[in-house]
Amino acid sequence: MKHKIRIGDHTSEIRCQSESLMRWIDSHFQNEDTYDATNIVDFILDVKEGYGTSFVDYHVEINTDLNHITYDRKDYLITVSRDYRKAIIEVYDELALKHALTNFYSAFIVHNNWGLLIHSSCIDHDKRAYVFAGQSGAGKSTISRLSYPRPILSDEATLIKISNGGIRVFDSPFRSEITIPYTNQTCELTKILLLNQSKEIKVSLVNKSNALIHILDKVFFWHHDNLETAKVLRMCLQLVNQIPIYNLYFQENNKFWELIS
Amino acid sequence: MSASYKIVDDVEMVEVDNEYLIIDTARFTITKINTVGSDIIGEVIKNRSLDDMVQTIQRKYGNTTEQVKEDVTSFLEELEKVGLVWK
Repeated sequence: MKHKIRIGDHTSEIRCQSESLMRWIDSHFQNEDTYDATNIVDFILDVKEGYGTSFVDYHVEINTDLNHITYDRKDYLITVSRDYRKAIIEVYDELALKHALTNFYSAFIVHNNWGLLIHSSCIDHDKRAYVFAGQSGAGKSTISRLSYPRPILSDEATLIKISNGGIRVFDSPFRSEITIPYTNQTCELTKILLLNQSKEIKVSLVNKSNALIHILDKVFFWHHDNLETAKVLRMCLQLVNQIPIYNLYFQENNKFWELIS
Repeated sequence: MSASYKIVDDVEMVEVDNEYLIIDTARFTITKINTVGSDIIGEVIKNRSLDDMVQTIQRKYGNTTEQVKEDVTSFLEELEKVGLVWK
């Protein structure tokens, strides 16, 4: 079986013999309406099941040779060509597939200087994107729930395109709980808010050097090559130079929207 | 001749709103330093000896030679501890 899916503004061909894994891909990623074999795709993924054991931890071993880079976790193995246009993804189960696709796509967009996947949720408020960043437990999913009925671009990993023409957020298929896709596809980024649960509601501007440290800490990135790391750094710098970043202290209600919007 | 320090490879120093960050792309670490620290790093990059660095910093910021030498040495020792410079 082969299907074409869209992530960000990239098109991918997915080849997979497993019906269950292909069903999972179809239910989590935006399918291209018609498959045209003559169309150029940005990358091709061969997905295979039967690899490794169930999830143990997040440790990824990365090795490189002349032609390939491998990302090896207990429950998945990604073997990717040096130009990131072809990859074989072997997985134990659907969770491993989700994490492996996040791993691959993050590396792909960094390699191409396209943008970053940031550990955060993102909400569309009046056609402007607000990113809420924080580590696990900081309140990203809570913020998404509290922001209903505003459309959600991401609840776990925000897909940010960084270019000289502006900074935009795309609908992220890398979801945690809220899987309703963002129908407008993309939205201009307005603010980034660093989450702090608190008894009061307030915002304070973060200076750019601290903002850079916070953002670098929240990028989905598996460091293995100094050139790729330098790309992450340059894109993070561009991001903090163009987008204001605030600390948001919030209670578990939606009153913070009055303060930030 | 006084000791000189070398900065490790794969390090970038970036200025953001008059603050300075040393980013080690090999180990993916960030060290935040102030303006005087950035001047000292600039001297290290130019392979200047410790005595020359002290002179330059003293000319720019004043204070006694002994105090400047103590401060510069202390700063470089901190950077050495985090693996950014070596003797």
